[in-house]
Amino acid sequence: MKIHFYGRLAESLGRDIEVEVPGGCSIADLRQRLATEYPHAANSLGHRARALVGDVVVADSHFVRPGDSVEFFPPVSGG
Amino acid sequence: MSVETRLETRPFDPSAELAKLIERSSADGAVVSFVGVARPQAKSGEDVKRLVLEHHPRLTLKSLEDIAVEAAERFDVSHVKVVHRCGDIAAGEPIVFAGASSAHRRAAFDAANYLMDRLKTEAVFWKREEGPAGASWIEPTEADYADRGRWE
Repeated sequence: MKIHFYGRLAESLGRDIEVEVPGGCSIADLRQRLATEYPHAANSLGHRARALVGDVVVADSHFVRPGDSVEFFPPVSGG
Repeated sequence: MSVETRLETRPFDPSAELAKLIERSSADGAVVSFVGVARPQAKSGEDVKRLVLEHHPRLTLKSLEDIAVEAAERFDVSHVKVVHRCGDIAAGEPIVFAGASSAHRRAAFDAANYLMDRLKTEAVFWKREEGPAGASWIEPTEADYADRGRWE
């Protein structure tokens, strides 16, 4: 599964990573796994970071499958 | 009613944007605009050499369009215009132009105010200040979210 990060998350984790999730997992599971593997980014991976699949924000209960691409957005700010 | 949104990778001239909006608004009685400029100092007082606005390849422009369309629908305005920079922005350069025109002033003021409150908290950018002391990510403050909440 491809994961793409933006903003401070990209700075901490790199722009793209790929993780193996045989059978898939929920977004909540994915957050937990990433926080365990990258403890320095655990805070930034919390609930303030939104997860998107196919350019749509998804809930933590959303189930992602191998082959899906997930994006994580830290809080956004324009102006 | 018209809505115009642009994402600019290069510096833009807010005076020219305002002039075009006024020209387009010849049937209106009011044109209100706001220009956001990259500050030379951070809130901490440190010098800021540049602001970096990272954007999303699809969702950034869509967020500008959604906010501008909702402003146009919500207020009794004739024209709404948002121009937003992305990429590397030197201190002193304009970041955003938000403007609206209407028959009477109140709707144009309200629309411009609404545009900025939503852009601060919902436009899809990730903002980083860079200077001699290092770099720091800038996220919306509680006050920014409270300002956004006024419109709900």
